[in-house]
Amino acid sequence: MSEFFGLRIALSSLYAQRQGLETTGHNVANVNTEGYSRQRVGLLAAGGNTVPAIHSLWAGAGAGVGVAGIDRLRDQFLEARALTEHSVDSGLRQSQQVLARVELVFSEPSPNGLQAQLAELWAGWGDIANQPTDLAARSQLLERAKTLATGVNQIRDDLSALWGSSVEQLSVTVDAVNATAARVAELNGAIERAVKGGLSPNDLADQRDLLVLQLAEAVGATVRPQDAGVVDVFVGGTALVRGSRAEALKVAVPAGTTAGNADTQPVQVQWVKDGYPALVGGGTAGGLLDSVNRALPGYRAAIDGVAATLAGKVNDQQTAGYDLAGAPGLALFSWDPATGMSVALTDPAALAAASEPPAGGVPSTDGRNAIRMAELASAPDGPDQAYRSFIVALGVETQAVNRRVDIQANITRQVDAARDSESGVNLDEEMANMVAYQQAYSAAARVLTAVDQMLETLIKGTGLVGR
Amino acid sequence: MSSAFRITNRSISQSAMAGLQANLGRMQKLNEQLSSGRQVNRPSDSPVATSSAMQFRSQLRQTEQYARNAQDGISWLGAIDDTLTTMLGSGGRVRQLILTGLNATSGPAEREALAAEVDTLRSSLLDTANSTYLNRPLFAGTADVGAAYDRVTGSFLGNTGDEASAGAVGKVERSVAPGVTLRVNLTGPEIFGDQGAGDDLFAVLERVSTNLRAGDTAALSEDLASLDGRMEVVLNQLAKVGARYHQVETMRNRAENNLITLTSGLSEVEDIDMPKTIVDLQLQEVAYKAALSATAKVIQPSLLDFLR
Repeated sequence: MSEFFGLRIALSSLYAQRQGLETTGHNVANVNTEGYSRQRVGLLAAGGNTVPAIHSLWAGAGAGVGVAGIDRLRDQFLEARALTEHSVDSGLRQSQQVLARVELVFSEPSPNGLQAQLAELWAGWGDIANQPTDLAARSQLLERAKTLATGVNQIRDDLSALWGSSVEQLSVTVDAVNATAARVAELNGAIERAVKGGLSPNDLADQRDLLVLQLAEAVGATVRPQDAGVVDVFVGGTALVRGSRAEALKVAVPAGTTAGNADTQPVQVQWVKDGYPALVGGGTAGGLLDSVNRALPGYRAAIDGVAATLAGKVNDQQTAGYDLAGAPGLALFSWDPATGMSVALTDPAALAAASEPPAGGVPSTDGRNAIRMAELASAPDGPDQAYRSFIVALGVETQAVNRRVDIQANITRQVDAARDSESGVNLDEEMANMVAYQQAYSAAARVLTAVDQMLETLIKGTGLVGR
Repeated sequence: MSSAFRITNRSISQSAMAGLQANLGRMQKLNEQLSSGRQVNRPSDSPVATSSAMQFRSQLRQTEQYARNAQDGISWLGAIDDTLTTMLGSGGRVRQLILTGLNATSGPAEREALAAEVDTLRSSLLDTANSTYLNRPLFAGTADVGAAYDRVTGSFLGNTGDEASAGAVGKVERSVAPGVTLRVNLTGPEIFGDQGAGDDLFAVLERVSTNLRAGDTAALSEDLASLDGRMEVVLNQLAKVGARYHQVETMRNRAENNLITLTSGLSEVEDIDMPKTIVDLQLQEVAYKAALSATAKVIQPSLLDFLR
């Protein structure tokens, strides 16, 4: 064993402690960097020569310390879990947003909603029943009918607009996914090169994992780690990113798809390369697809159902009666799911208030048909009932989603806390480490001094015989 | 978070922020309730309360209409009641004139005067029978005619209702409660008698005038009996109108009581309990301030403050 070996040991420690201190500095610098994983210097005690040999002078002491590598402290299982939870979370949040806007469209319960307009219509028939010959009461009813038809159309238009903006948001989301996927592929390539070149890819990997989390939030992506620090990203079992190659997605809206028929000819997210649908299960895109293909068409169908019931019931009652001139009543509302609702009558006298046919050419002024019309307000199969149960269903669904969002937010927060507890920077800890490295550095320097002094004794104090 | 976790500065600030956010969220909710005065602002706040509120509001509007209908019915019946009372007066005067005519001492000139007065009374009764309410003839049933009786010939132009039939002919009805309609009119023939039989009030009066002029006391005595018969019918109908008036009024009162119940029901479902909400808001404010000061204390220190 060389006399100078002690110097080598001290030097190895100086190097190692310095690197430790630098890593601590790097951690402190990135305490607030999103997606950063704390790093640790992996120290390894360097053993001496362990190969037995006859003339080996090995005394058994170690050979100092070496840096095995700089580790990124990150729990792979927690990360995978985080991808799933974040994907569910952002999907639910997306649904919640759409539902909140749907609730605004209906503005119930309020004195201005469709329910109030329906009540006004029925009350208008009550006035006609009181004065069947009064044109003022009849004109008032026509105006109320127009207001109601406008209200129904307004709701349908608002739902269509909401549908349109959701489709637009979906394509914006998919564009962002494509950009992010390309960047992930790029980083995968850089990481692979770094690893093969023997460099530390830690910070690149942090950046990439942050982007992968974004992909999970956008389309519910999952990952599979590969060699050399590379991860493949999958959407619905098909690779979005494989190594340093990224695929692209697109939004396909079949010709003629509207809010009214998206449940039968759905909007899809497809792979650009072959046009096959991508099975987007979660994330913002998943939530949007659910809104666009299920929720919004469902609400449209429900309001269409209310409109059809309204038109059907009122028109049936109209045709059962006789108008002011004694002629059989004609349909009041015209309803077509394609164009919406409108009032077909323009002449207030054409409203059928009488239930009796004219006798001897003299029209009847009994208001019994109008009374029956007014009683549609509380008919068990009437439009009010249909509308109310729909609003309740909307409320229940929104409430359920709100609760699920709250629960999921809690779960996501816990997973994030667990991740953070694994990979986040704790300044106290870093300070303690800093002190430890600093002390160790000082101690190693002291060892160096001691060895130096020993050598000095040897060099200066020996070989003086005969002087 | 369990204490087995390694706590980091980021996780502390994140959980503190999450707590503050939740606190602020609750404050915003209370603020929304206070500023709108309603605890249910959207269906998801409470689907059940939303449904009740919508139902209450719709029933309120319906009940308002029932009260209006009943009020209108009361006006109809009131107008009929007034008209019939006037008629009884005229009928009494005719009776007096007949009695005077039956008195043997009256000469032709005197009888002519009596007959002339009867003619005037007949035409005024005809006018009364043509009374209108809001431009609708009171006694024309449901026929769309300008007047119940022809002013010249005195023939009935309207239609008359068969009380027993289910049809709406001749029946002016008011819807006063869900599924309850009450008839609020009487038709000419029901009061004045059927013209086909020739013994309706106007025919009787015409005979009285003729017989007075002719001085036919025997026929006049017969007419007196017929007139009494007719007046009895009017009296009966008047009693019926009174009974119906009472019935409709009861229904109106009931509707108005319902309005109060429904309004308070709606308010109970929809409106906030003001003192409770204000107290809740203040409690929330205290909690928020406490959370803020706790966060300020927890986030600040680190080992850094104590080194060296």
